[in-house]
Amino acid sequence: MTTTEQATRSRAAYREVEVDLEVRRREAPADGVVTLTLAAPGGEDLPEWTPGAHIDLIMTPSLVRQYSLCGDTASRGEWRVGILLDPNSRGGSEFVHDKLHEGTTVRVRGPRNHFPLVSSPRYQFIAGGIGITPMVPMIEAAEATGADWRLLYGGRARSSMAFTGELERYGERVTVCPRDEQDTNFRKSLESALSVTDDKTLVYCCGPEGLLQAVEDGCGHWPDGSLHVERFSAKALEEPSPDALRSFEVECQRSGLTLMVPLDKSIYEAAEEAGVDVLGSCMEGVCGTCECDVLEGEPDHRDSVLNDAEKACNDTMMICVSRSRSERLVLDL
Amino acid sequence: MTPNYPFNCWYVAATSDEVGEGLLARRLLDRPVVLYRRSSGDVVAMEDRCVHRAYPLSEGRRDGDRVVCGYHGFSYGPDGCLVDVPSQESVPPGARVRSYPVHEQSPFVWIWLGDRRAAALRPPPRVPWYGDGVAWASTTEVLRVEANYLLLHEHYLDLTDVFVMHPEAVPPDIEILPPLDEVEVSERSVSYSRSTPPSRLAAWEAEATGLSPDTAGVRREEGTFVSPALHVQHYAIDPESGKAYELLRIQGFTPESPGATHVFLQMARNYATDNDSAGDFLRTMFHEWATRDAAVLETIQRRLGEDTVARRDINVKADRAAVRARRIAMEMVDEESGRFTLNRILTASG
Repeated sequence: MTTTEQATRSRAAYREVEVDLEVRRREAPADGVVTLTLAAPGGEDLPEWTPGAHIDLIMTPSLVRQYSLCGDTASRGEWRVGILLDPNSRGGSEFVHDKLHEGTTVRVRGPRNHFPLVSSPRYQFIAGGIGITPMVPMIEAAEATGADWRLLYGGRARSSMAFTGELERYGERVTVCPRDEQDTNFRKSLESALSVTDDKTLVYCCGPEGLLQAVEDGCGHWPDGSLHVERFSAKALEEPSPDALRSFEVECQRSGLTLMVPLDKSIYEAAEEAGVDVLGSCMEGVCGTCECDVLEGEPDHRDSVLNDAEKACNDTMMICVSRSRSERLVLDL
Repeated sequence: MTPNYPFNCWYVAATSDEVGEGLLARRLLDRPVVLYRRSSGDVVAMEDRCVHRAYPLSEGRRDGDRVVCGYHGFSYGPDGCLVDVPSQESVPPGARVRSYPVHEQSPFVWIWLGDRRAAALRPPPRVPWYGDGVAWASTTEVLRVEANYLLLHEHYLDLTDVFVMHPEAVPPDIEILPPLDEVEVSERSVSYSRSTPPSRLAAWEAEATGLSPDTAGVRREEGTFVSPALHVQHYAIDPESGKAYELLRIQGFTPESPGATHVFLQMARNYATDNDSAGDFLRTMFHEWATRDAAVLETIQRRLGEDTVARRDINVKADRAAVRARRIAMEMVDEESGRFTLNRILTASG
């Protein structure tokens, strides 16, 4: 997993765990891919994580990259990440290539998880290229808990696809489809994997944008909530968005009032002044007291309460600090 | 009240000294469990219910490493398998009570009551907060509080109640509690820290440390939600010269049921380590402290139980570690129940 040019800014209310870790092992499981095994120089335990979690490697203050953890969740002392050395890198893989040798130290932040593995009797995992990394611990968890799972893994060429050796032991559960091999066809395998919907199966997908689009389209007829995807480039949602509007309209549905929220006022303040019954406390987006259901419109989330996935859902917001990206918001107020 | 605790998590089942030759009955995560120690010293945990007539096995007796039911004398091996039925020659094949993975790390016995196959994916938290423990002395205690386990976590993640509930324990030169310095989070943990301006010692601090009450020092306080099962609090008095006087309270919170919690406390100090009376003093003081806090939490639990519709209570800034801890616990509950709470799709960046 890679990218975001800027550091995900530490939230004001919370600071994520940051530690300096040593590169214990550096291996090349495939052409153009390296895995780094990281550990605390003193051997201390690292924070717990679950499949789908990622960490930031803070290469320089302005060069921060996210990588999925792909080691063993039970190993408290070591983390493993898989990194694609992209020849068109914007700096991240160049830094990894040139600087992160065995014995060097790198600052690490996290872990956090936007792609958690929800318990299910069956899973369809779909990975494209380096998108295999979060799938490795997911597969281990699915295997350990006796879930029925399949992996469809596409890539450019077998030699460029990491972990195919480790995955061999799973036999027919795994379908590897390198583009340059005539006897495999990723698109056909994908179509057949998604053709029959099943409300007991969760689909987890990580890979390049084209793959995610294809999987989203392919899951169109699946029950809501079946598909879980992780994109290579995630937006730092706590940053005020350039799409945020300076002023916007808020319809308070229960009160039957419509208000304008100007630049110098929060939704909370505007609602309170209009006599709408609102509940708030910290006024900094940390305590969650003013959480309010969003019925229509797209909020610009600026709080520290909701996680990124919840923010992306846009069904609730903290009205003390968050604003709007749409001209009109309808709130349950 | 529906359970709001994850099952796929290691919880403290007992302290090491509670588990011996006898059969210890304990309700954990609303399941009846019987614990005992085999002759090898290993701890066994199994469902406290005979497969024949649901009588608690803990009402029976030990026969070597076996447990014999006190009703019809059915015997079980330490793996939970039924091995003897006195009234007939054959044993129903495959009959067994559920046994639970346990892991002893003195002074705690950890238990896994969730999906057995998932236990190996998450080892129990190590309790290394005081290194090898050589320069520390510690005491343990077991309490039971009739309140949901999250009320205990929330209580210990926001100690601003101390000024109201335990004013005599506040160092004399501290008039208001400074805001939290920092709340540090990772995927599954939350930790707050705060330090105070220098103050002379409160009476209890002087008594416990043996320092003169006029000794001035800052206080460093840290509280960590390690998992839904464990809270660790660190309290250090840092005099202007000399070593820090550190006190750790490591607390296992194990739901007995949605409405009650077992508290397993290990309290460790790096001072007065060979002075038993300092240990006794701290134990008594924090026992009284915890009892007073428990009474408040129990009253709150009863009041919550009176609500006929879900109500939202207000949080304040000091609650932000607690707010985060509650979210982590609820995310774990949702993930293991397979609830499609969210389709966690990240927005692509431009």
